[in-house]
Amino acid sequence: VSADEQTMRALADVAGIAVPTEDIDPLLAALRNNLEAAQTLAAIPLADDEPIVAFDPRWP
Amino acid sequence: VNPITELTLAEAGDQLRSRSVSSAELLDATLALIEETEPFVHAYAGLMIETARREAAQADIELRESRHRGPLHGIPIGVKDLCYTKGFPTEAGSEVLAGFIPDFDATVVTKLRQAGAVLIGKTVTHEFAYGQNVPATRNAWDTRRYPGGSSAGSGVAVAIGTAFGAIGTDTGGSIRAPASVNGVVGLKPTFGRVSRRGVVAMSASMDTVGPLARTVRDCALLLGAIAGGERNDSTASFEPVLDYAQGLIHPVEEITVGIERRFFFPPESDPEINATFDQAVDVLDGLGVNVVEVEIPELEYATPAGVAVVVADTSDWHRKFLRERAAKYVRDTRIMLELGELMLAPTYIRAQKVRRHVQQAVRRAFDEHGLAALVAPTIPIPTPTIDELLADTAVRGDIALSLLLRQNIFANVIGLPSLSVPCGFTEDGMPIGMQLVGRPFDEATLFRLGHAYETQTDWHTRRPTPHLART
Repeated sequence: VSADEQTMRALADVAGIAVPTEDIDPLLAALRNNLEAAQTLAAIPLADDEPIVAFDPRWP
Repeated sequence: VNPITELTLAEAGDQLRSRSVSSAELLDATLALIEETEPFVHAYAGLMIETARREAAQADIELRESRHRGPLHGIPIGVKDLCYTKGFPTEAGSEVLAGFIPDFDATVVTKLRQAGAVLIGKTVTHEFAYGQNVPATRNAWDTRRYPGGSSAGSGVAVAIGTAFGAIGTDTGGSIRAPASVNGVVGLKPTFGRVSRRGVVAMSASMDTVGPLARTVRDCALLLGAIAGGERNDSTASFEPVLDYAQGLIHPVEEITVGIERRFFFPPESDPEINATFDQAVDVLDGLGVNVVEVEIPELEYATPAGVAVVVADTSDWHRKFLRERAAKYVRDTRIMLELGELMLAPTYIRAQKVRRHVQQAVRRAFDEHGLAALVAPTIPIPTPTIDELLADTAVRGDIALSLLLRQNIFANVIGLPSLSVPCGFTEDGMPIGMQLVGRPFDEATLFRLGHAYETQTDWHTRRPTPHLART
């Protein structure tokens, strides 16, 4: 999985953030690292692990 | 060197109670040392001199009248500039919050004030605790070197003697790293042990607030004062707060600790650090602690899960500022905030599931081996120089910072308490830290182990003098 500048700009557009020109190259590198990490997470053999943040219906 | 600033927090408290020193004298000695050392170490973002003098004077009045509030009464303490201080700037190391003056105290600050502490100033943090920039703070032992982060100022101030204790925050090692590289003790408490209310946030499920001090006893005294539930903070726990300092007297024989060598000794780890750590483990063994080897392969998953959660959570907190004040951020911080905006929801949820998976695996290991703690080097490599760090950045996968993060963030990912204690020095004179990671809300056992270790070693008694080397 990878991402090019066009994909990154599209994601930023959807998120509603303006990415300064000086940020584009390092942000693209960071995004690629992030996508690699997402692949790593996706490959971890989880059974029925619930997300660690659980909803508590009791009134705080 | 004024011998007053060489005292530990507990010793200073004893002298206050016996009236052999006053709070005003402690404060004056500390301010004098600050004036001497700040040009070289830059531990403080701002000094609260006027209010500190009033607090010291009030403490002296109360102590004279035998109205003793506890072990922090009259003691000068530093607070990381991420914690709100009513009427005093809280800027989180960033231009984004320049001039921000909170209208209430963080709960940790309130508790310190209630305990009679004298708040001497706000200590330097990396911008918003993200660890992406290089603040002015310099290592207490060698001003060319990394001071730790993000609670850099707190670690340096305690090491050099310009605070008897300090408050830091830790989302991925930000208390333990500055403790380790500056040769002091630092505790990342169990998630929820100390309220996060009024502390600039990164992650609502990984941020912790905790103490740095010169000894384990001092850390125990500080935690006892700042721990506890808070009705306005749903993440703060009402688990009972123990008398952690009193608990130090209990023996450590038959306590079992585990070493996970595959995870905590990566190929990049330094042989000198590893050898020093093994000697520290021998000391624990000599105290009657059972040391066993364990395997927890799931620890490898902690870093990608933790980073995914922190990056997304932090961007949520900064959502408005990123849109209105983007140019005010340091570029590398801004890039991480932009990255969080681009993360996909399934990745975030997957990361939260992986956290549970890692938590279960660690719990199994603790139960199967009867562990009270895992032990590991706090940082597996020698403290890098600032120049080495500037040569690369975390965004590009810097080795030093990624090793530091890997070694520490797993405790945040699963919420466990972790105590870093000095366990030696490199040949070139830089401190080395050992971390003890315990069961949830069992800070007491970590303190016992750390304190027992201190009784057999003198690493925690050594003090840096960078201001003497300024020429």
